[in-house]
Amino acid sequence: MCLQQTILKQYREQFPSETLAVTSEKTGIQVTRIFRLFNGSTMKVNELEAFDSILNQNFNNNEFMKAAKECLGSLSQERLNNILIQMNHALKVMNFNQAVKPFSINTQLNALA
Amino acid sequence: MHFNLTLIERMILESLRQNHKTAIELSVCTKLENNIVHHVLTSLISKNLITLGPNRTYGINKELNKQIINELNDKNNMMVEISEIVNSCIRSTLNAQNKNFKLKKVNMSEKEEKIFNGLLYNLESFLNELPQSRENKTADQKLIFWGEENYGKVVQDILAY
Repeated sequence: MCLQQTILKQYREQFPSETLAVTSEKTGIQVTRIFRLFNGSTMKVNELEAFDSILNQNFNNNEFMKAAKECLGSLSQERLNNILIQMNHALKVMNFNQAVKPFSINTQLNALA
Repeated sequence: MHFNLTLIERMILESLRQNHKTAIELSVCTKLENNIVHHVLTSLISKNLITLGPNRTYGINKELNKQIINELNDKNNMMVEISEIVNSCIRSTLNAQNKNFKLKKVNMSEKEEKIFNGLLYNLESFLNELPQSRENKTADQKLIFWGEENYGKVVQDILAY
């Protein structure tokens, strides 16, 4: 699933009954454009940022960062290591899921060489 | 060097340990979508954990075999992987009302504990006697977990962690 699809999916999960008009108001994107985005039109970077910003606010980044800081100062090294591995695994799995089918492996190998 | 391998990469590596496979064969064996298999293969190749051989088949890098095994058996990585397996079963049980995960808190008399230990021994014997490898697809293998611990001890361990 590509980044655009992921963001729109997350948005729908967080605001399942929200009308397009409300989404338009929150993101600052025209309502007809919102409709087209949810129906497959390619997102522009500023539109992606608008959706991303709302998702981050809703999750309460501040609470997350505050807890992370406290953990760093309080938890044992072993426990911190465990949390770090969990986070890295979650990121990796998300990246695997976002993979768009290529160009062939050979092209990617050439790019690595 | 730590490769920070996830369960998905482990599955691919385990499938390749059986024999060399093409990307499509891996996809069939692991039941992972093609694009995910390709992405994981790219990741593993970039870390030199697998190699691309003749006829577009992939195989474990034999020179790193021991290192890969050590990494897969790394205590910290295993703790997270096993947690992910158990969490997945718990989510499935809570969300879809499946019975993938069961946990019971019980009081046992000494006699009942002996009966329980006997049953546990039978279960372990049965599982240990199952053949190590079969022609089955990697994805069709079953993950079975069991264990028991004193309630108080668990809480003490969490406090001390």
